[in-house]
Amino acid sequence: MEIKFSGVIPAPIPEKDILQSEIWGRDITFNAGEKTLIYADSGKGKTTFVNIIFGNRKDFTGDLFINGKNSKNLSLNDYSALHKNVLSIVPQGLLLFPELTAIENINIKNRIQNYQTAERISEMMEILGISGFENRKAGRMSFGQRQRVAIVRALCQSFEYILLDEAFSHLDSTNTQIAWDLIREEAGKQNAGIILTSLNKEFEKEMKKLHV
Amino acid sequence: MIWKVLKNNIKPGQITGTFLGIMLGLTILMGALSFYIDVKPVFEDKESFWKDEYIIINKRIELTDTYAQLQNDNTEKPLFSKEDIEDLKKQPFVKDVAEFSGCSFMISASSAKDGPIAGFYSDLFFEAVPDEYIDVNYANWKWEENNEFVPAILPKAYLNLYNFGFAQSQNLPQVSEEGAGLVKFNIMIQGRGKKQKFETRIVGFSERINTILVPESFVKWGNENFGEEVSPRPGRLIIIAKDPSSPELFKYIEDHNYDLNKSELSNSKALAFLKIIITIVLIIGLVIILLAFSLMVISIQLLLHRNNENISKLGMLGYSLREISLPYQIMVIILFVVTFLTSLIPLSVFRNYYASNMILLGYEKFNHILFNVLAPGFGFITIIILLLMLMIRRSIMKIMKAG
Repeated sequence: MEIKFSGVIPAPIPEKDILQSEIWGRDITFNAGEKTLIYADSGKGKTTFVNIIFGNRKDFTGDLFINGKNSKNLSLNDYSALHKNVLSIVPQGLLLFPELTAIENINIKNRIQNYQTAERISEMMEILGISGFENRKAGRMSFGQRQRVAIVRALCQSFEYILLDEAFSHLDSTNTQIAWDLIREEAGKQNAGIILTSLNKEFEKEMKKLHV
Repeated sequence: MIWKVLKNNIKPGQITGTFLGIMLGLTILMGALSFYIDVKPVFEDKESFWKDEYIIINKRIELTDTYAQLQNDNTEKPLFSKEDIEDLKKQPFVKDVAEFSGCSFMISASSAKDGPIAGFYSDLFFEAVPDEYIDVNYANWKWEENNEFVPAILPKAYLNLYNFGFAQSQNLPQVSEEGAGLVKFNIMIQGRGKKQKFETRIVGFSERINTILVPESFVKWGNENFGEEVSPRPGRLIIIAKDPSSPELFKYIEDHNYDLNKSELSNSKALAFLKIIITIVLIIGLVIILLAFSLMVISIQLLLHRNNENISKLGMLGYSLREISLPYQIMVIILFVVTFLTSLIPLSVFRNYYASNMILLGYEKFNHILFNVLAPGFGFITIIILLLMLMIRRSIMKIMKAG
C-alpha cells in the first residue's frame, strides 16, 4: 500500500508550523512495508495527520492519494472497506466501547474477518500482560490496560498499513518494547507498513523519521 | 454483538408510546375503511339491469296541475321541454341525460285463456328508454318490425299487487318472479282507427323503475303508426350522474321542483353523509398515525444521536453503513409488523360488532373477512417502514461521515 501526501495543509494549523513541518504542504510518499515515526510536540497535528489518512478528517487543502486514488473521490463505503481489512488503527483516544468487556471489544473487531483465532488472541493478551482482564468492562480498566486492549484489537484484522497514534503513551519502556515487537511481528507477516506518532524522536534507530 | 452497542439508550417508554399511537391510528384507519366497504352496498341495492349512477326524475305534479288539466285539455302538462334537458346536460355533475319515451296510443293486455293466470285483462301503458341504458344481457331485448313478440320489464310492485291483492281476492294462483316470466300475455294496441295484436313475456322485474319498459324501437314504431303524437315530450328523464350521492345534484333537483324516488334520495343522502363521516374518521386516523410517525422519527433520531459515538466507533472498526443500519431497520420492521398484527385484534372485534348487527338487519355479505382492508393497511405500513428505514440510513450516514 502506498499513501501519498501532495501539498496537504490541514485547516487549523498556524502558518509558521507549516513552514517548519516536513509533512504539511510537501510531497511525501509512504511506501508499502515502510516504518515511519512521526514526531512532534503536542498540538502540531500528529492526530490530525493520522485522522486525515484514516478518513476521519476532510478539512484540508491539497491532495491525499491512497493507493493512487484521490481521497476526495473515496466514498463512505470505500472507507468502510479500507477500515475493514486494509488500514488498521490504534487511535489516540482508543475508542473502546466502555460498556463491553476487554474480550468483547476485541471480538467485535475480530468477528468481521475472523482474522485471529481465539488462541492467538489470548496469546497476544498474555504477551501484553492483560490476560485475566478478559471479562472486565473496558470502562473499568486503566488507560494503560485499555491501550493494550486497543493494540490487540488493531491486530485482529489484515492490514497493509497500521496507524499507531501515540499508542504507547501510557506504557513503560519495557512494555512499550514488548508491544512494539508484537506489532512488528504481525505487520511483518503481512509485509505491512507502520506509521507511529510520538512526542519524542527517541525510538527505534532504523526507522524513517519525520517531523510534523 | 453489534446490537449490544447499538441498543444503548433505547427507551422502552418511547417504544411503547409509539407502538400504542400507531396501533390506535391504524385500527381507526382500517376500521373506518372496512366499515365503509362493508356498509356501502347496503345503500346501493344493486339491480342487474339498472346501473347505480342512473337517477330517474320527473316534474313534481301539483294540485293546480290536476285542476288546470281538468279545465282545459291544452294546458301545459308537467313534461320536460328541450330547454329543461339542455340545461340539465350542462350541469357539471351530470354525465348524460336520456329520455323516457311514452306511447301516444292505447294498449291493453290479457292473459292467455289456457295459461296459469286465466282471465286477466287490463289497460296498460308502455314506456321505453334507449336500449343502452337497459343493462340486460337478454338476447331478446329487442324488437323489430313484424316481430309478434315484445319483451317487457315490470316494476316488482306490480307482481306484489297481483300476488297479495288481485290473486288472493280473485282466487287465482300466486306466482314467483320466475313463474311470471314464463307466462305469455296477449297485447292489443290501437289508435288512428287501427288495431294490432302482439305477444309479450316479462323478462325482468325492477324495484327502481316504476313503469313498464319495452324496447324503444317498439314505442317508436307504435307512435309512428298508431299514435296521436309521433314523439311525445318525455315526462321522465334518466340522469347519469358522475356521483349519484353528490349534494349539488339534489340541490338542482330541489331548485327546479323536480321529483325523484324518495327512498333512492334518502339512500343517496345517507350514503353522502356516511362518506363525510368516514372521511372525517379516516382523517383522524391518519392524523394520529402521522403524529405517531413523527414521534417515531424523533425517537429514532434521538436514539441515533445518543449512540453517535458507538456508531462512529463501529465505522472505525470497518463496519459498513448497511451493517450498522440493519439492526435498527430490523427493529423498526419488527415493531411495525407486531403493531400491525396487534391492531387486527381490536379491528376484528369492531367488525364483528357491526357485522352481527348488520346480519340481524338482513345483510349477510361478509365473506371476505377483513381481506379488503388488510391490503391497504399493509401497504400503508410498508410505506411507513420504508420511509423510516431510509431515514435511519441517512442519519447513520451523516454520523459516519462526520467521523
